[in-house]
Amino acid sequence: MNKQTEQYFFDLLSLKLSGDATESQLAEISAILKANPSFQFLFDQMIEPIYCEKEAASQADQAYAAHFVKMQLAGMFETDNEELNEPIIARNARFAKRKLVFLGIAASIFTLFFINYSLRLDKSVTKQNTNSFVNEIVTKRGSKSSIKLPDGTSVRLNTDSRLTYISFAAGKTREVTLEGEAYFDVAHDSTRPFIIHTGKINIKVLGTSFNVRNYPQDKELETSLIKGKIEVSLESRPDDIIILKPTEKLIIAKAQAEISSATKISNTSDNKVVLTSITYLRHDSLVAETSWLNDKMVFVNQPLEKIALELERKYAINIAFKDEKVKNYRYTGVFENVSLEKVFELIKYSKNINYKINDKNIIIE
Amino acid sequence: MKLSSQELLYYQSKVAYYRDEQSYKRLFLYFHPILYRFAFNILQDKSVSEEIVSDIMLKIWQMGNKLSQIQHLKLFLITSVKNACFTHLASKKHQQSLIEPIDNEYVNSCNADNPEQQYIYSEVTLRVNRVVSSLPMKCQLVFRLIKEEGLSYKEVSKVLEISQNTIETHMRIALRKIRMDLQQFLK
Repeated sequence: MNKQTEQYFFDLLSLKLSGDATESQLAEISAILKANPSFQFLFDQMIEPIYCEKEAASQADQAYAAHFVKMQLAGMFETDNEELNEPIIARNARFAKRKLVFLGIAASIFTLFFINYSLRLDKSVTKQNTNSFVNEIVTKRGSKSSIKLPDGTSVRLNTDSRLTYISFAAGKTREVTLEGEAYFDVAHDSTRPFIIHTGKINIKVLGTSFNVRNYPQDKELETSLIKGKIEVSLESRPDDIIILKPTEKLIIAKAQAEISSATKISNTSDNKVVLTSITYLRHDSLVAETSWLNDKMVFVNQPLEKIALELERKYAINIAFKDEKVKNYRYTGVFENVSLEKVFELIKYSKNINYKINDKNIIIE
Repeated sequence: MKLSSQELLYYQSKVAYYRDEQSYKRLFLYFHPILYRFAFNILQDKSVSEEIVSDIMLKIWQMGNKLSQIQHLKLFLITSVKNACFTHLASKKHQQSLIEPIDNEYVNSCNADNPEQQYIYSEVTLRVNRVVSSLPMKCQLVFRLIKEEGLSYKEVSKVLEISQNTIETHMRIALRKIRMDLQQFLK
């Protein structure tokens, strides 16, 4: 058999496989096969499927289960699946999958914690005398601070924030509490997890970089992961763990976190916990969440009310609104090394507002 | 799951006009294997492939009434998956993942009868799959779309944006490679 026949046969076979072959072409295939039995084996193999349909179907079923949760979370489906009456936190397809994997790990970790905790209860009386001094780092409005913790972790503390920790060497874990905003670059130590308490949530890490924002004035609490892996749990429900992947951002509404602890409702409609991604500014891949580290202020479609809070912290000023409507004006922009006067000039340039600067007090009308 | 083109159209409009979740599920179960395999062939990554398929399926629900305007849903979906995959590759630039050995999770021998035959069948299938995986990416995609998903030349040329002559060439290369490999196996 020559090359030409072979090529011709391949062309016909391709047409058959694609469903494009005509009756006469199919007849030709049979004729060639009869004349050249060596093609038969190839032909038989080609009309068999490579993939097992049964397996593909069961995989599709599994995928649909995960997809269904995702659709519900996105508010697409109206019907509620009874199997999925899990707490809110687990109501994300990705969470749900990961949750299964981490449930075991979580369980063991919490047993460890419990043992650790009860051990410490016994010792606490004696330890209190020797090891009870609390380190506290506080930044005022308008100032920031860089701290190196005893374990090598570096923390950048934004303005108007407070970080406290008890001497690390004593306990097995490294624990800090945070009020305000800070960027953590946690030194890796798999034997001693690093835990950040914020009152509403606890964040547990092994070694990673991320931002936490927990200002008392803000309605929400946020954490954005830059690299590594962190586990977040609500103070009120310590055994629901949310695992964040890099570039993910978790927003927790403070008021609702309280409600949920009191009533344990798991209503789908309100967003107590929102998982989203960090905000990139397109032109220079600047991450809005960590821009304060470089003395930049980045706002992406933020209401003036929120921007004012930031400005108050950064410039150590007070801003008062005379008109409620103005509070909701939204702005997008980047401020870098600009004076307060310039900031307001720029804001005014974008959407007209009237303001009076009176030393440290600013009134927006 | 097998659906005829009429059934597909019926479910498509049920979703488009009535937001029928059962029909949507049928569509998902029908398209998932095709789209997942296609994405996996490009990406060689299970979880990213799943995510891309899920995102695209979510989009067709979000389209609402506009879904009915899509004339060839299958082509539309495969093209969307293709674009999403290449966007992903461009953003990640993980070139190395393209050379990684193929995961043969789908390769199975479920339709052979006796054990002996089953063994040969699965070995041959594995061989074929291995040959196909060693082909250049475009060639592989053309071959799989035609052989596995039964897409016509016209459809493949639309999805992959190549001419029908190119498809023919790719098919010849693929079939010749497979034939050579099978002949070696028979010896």
